[in-house]
Amino acid sequence: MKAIEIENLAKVYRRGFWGTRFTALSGLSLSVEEGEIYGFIGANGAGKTTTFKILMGIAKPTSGSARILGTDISARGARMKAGYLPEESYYYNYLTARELLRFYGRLQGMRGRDVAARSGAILESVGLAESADARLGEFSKGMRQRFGIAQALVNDPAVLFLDEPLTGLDPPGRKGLRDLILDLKRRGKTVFFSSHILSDAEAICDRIAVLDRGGLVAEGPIGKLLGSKVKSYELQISGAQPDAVKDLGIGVGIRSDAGIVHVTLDGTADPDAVIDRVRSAGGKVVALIPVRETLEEFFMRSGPSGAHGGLGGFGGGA
Amino acid sequence: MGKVIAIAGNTVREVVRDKVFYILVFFAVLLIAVSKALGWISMEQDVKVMKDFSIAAINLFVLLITIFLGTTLVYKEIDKRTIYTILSKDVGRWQFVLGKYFGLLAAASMCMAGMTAVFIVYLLVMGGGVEASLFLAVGGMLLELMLITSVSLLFSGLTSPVLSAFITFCFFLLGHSVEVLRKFVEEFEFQGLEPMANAIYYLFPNLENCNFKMYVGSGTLPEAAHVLWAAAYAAGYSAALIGITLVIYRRKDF
Repeated sequence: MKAIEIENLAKVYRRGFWGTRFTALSGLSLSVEEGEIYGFIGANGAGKTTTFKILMGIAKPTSGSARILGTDISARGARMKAGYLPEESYYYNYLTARELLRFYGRLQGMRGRDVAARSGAILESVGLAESADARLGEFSKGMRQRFGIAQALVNDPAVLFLDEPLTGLDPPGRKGLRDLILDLKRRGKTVFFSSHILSDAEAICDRIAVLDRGGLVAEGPIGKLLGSKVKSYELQISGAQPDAVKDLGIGVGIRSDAGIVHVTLDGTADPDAVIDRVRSAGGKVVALIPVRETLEEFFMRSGPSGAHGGLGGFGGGA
Repeated sequence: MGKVIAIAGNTVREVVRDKVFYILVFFAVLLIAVSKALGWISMEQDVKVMKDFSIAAINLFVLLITIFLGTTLVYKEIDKRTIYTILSKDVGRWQFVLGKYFGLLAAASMCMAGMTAVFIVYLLVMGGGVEASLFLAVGGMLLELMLITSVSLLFSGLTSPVLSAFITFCFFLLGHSVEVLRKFVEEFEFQGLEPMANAIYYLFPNLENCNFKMYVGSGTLPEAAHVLWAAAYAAGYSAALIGITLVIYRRKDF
């Protein structure tokens, strides 16, 4: 069974006094396998949050359908095994973390004592065990984001929907959350998350979808999308002077750092031939690092219509 | 039903932790205390004046609290997006609307019960007696509360708190005037205005049906059928308004 199936999902909003039509989502189709981490990438206004809102029953689709673990999203019980962290999440400031977890647990049909039994472990897993009895109004932004994850986990969901979970977190917070997402995957959970922080998505996603102006422009495993093609090489040489290396005429860029000469080679260069020339000139090759396209470069090339490159390269999508 | 109760309980908790709630309750209690002073300046009618004034004060402040809470709480849920974390759980929109309604009603009723308790204690201390008509008047206010809460809930998700508070207050004023307005038009034979007066009469709730305050201190009680009719009327009208609210919320994008 697929964890998430989306078929031709579309959403048209009517805005302003005259009801001007605005297409937020147009014919989006994708599926997410159970147990994978699926990244949903796109610029602001691409339709990511609209997709989350439709899947979570907060907005109604104009057309199309979607299922979570085989249950249509319009059916009761579709979100019984789902957890959701909204973008820029707000919570009731007057409640403590423990009280709020109890409230959300009851909304998922859990009994009070079951929620109470789980609360401690959940808050511990997101690093909020010591703040369990503090009111949400006293929490920092990072703590609120971590609480957001906790409330999404309250019913031990099989599928997690995280809308921009890494936004606003400091580097240790981001690292902690990335580790938590990877841990959830290890425990068999499916994680569907959107992010602007592409390096994080690249680090943890099994597959990604790139969304632009409400439509899918690329989708698949990161390795396949980025390809194996080497963009350039970085060659590190010791025992040679930068001028001597420059005279070899092997690279497009040369710099020296702590006795090591760093040479950038074109992706079409023959590394074996270059290494032979360095050695024959008395230099010692310390490292040869192939440089491939990053997700950020891929995203800028394929996705955001507002950034450079437009939609060039990928004509797929729905 | 457990989810409706959970949302209602959360609403009550939100209200009782709001400072504005206590400020309004404080002023209501202050007015009840001041009622004795008004009693002193009236000739041998001090207890009657005290009762009338205190019940009117309770009615006014419960109305203010209901309008304030009813028009802001749901709006805040939408504006602050806390509604996202509720609807994304296994919660139907009808459960959200009913939970909010019963939560608001419970909070306002608790507030009214508290004020009434303070008033009764004060009345006893000041040598007044407590009769059944007093509880009947409070019961009538509770029925009015049911109606006003359903009006405020209907508009709170549609417009800004200020506008929905204004509309709810208009419902309150017209609700106490529809009968008089229709009789006035009939009596003075304003024929052109009759259809409008009739439309207002049937469109707006007749809150005078729930008004039993005139029986306080009079030594009489209304017929049981009158009281039952008032209860059925308030429940029916509130149910109709909640039904409209449910239809709107079912189609609404947040």
